[in-house]
Amino acid sequence: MSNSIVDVLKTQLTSFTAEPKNATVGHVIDVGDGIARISGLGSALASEMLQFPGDTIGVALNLEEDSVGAIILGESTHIKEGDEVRSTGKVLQVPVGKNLIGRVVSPLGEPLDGKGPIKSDAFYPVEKIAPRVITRQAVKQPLQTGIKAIDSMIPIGRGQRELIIGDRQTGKTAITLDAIINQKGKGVTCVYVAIGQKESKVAKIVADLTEHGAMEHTIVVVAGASDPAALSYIAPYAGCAMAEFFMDKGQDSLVVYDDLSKHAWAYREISLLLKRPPGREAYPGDVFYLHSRLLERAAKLSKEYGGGSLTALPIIETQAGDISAYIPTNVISITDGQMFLESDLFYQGIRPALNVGLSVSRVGSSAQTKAMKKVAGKLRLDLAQYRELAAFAQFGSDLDETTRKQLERGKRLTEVLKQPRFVPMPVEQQVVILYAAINGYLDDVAPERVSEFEKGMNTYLQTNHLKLMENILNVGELTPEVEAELVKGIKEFRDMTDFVQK
Amino acid sequence: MRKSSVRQFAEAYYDVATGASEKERVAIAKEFLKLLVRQRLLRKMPRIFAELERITAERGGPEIVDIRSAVHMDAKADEQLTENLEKSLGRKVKLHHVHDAKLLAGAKIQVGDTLIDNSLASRLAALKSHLLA
Repeated sequence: MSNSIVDVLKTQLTSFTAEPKNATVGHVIDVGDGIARISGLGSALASEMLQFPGDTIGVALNLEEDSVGAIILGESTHIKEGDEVRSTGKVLQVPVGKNLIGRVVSPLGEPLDGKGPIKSDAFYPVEKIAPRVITRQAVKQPLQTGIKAIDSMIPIGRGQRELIIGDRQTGKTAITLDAIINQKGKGVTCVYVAIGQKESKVAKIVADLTEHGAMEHTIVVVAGASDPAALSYIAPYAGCAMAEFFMDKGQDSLVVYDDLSKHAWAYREISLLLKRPPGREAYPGDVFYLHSRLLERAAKLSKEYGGGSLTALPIIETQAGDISAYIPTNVISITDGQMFLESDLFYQGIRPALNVGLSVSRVGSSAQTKAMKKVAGKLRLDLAQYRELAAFAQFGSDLDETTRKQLERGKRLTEVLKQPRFVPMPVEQQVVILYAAINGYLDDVAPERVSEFEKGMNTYLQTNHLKLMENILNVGELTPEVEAELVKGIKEFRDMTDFVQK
Repeated sequence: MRKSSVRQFAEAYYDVATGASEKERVAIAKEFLKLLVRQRLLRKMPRIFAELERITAERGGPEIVDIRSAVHMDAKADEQLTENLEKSLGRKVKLHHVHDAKLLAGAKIQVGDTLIDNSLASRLAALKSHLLA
């Protein structure tokens, strides 16, 4: 035992060379609130890593005439005035690679889960220019979230940026977790970036992901509420760099930024401490660029560049449903669509609490399979009519036959779109139940029994019409033959069970 | 009114003091100190002087080289070091010695922002982090 320790020490000592070091140095003028001003360092680069005493790293943000303003990444209480600061000549970078998968890490790539050190394959700069036009390709491959309402009406494509926006406690994080869990076995590496969140919430998220076997393809990057703003500021960029590694390898990746409102707050704090002039809502002038340069890094690369993709799901928390505030409008304009979640719907029991009228996906529909597109068009129309009628129907009880029918249909559609957490549904099952709903096969089923019907029918078709289900999945189209077979299957199930009200 | 930066103070002082006679310089220095006291900027004085040294070096004066060493250097070593530094920097240098027993052995040489660290203390620190990594 002791011999082996000596051997290790010996090999380490032989590999150690002590040469006089040549470094550019500066001295701390003042330090506080996670910010330091440093004199000297005349040749520092923008966003260069700075070495503070005690292995603390900082990043040069403000290069002024006679000083450098830097953010300190991590603990800063041991740094005093006059301390020596060395420049490293490197811009801020994080470890990336396969070994990070399944781990919970800080924005600097250090392990936070107590599972030992991480051996990284490579380092990526945190700030990177997004892929240029030439290297990109239109979004055309779907990224299934496993949530019926989303995959049908607000489809997400690989390489898309889809904003999830809503008040607190409306199920924003739940949607992203379902999306991550649904990527299991589909070759998509997920990165969940928690920005300024309660550690208890992050612990719960990691436990949920582990329980559903999703940590095997997921990296969790955490900048907690007790960490300095500097870490919250770099966390999404670091998470993006970790996902870019997989995109560059030609694989697919998904990044969740939870959430960008807190990121904007962290950046506002840093900017004000660095004495940058405040603008609207006291945010600095470049707060738009802050988010646009991050979300631009989501891309679908063309075949010549490996064909990898990076899908981004940023989250924004609104205050009292105000989506016209500064940061929400900024991010809405940057992304390729948004899902708007409402607390009213949430408390009515419609979960996911998606406001279908205000939610859009600007590019995702081209990534939908033909079968899904066919059912989704009718679904959206029926729901829109239902909403309009439902508002009217509250005033009178005497309704004509067509109106009554449409209301009944709408009620059942709303029931169908409800979905509990952590039960992602495969795309072929989604097509089947939505097909049944829009074609009136649920109209004579009691609304409260719709979910039961759905479950029963899916099991029935999965066991007795496996070929049909495989066809829908693989061909992706409802050809007349497939459709006939599907109708037959649905009718069989209706006749067999007692769901239909006589 | 916007506060003047350290660099601006140093530049102004340099401009006023160059070309002045010995007697005038004393007067200028006194006035400058009074100005700093009045504007409550005495705490910036070390940085202003450091900046002044840099400006002097930039405008053809000798480069001030800080030498922090564990042992006192003799005249011969000084001469040799000056010669070497002048050759590598391509300009006149002026040595400024600081004795620092904490370095154990060797020296740290600082020219402007550049630090050449060849002290035993920092080598031991490097060895420590190498072994811990």
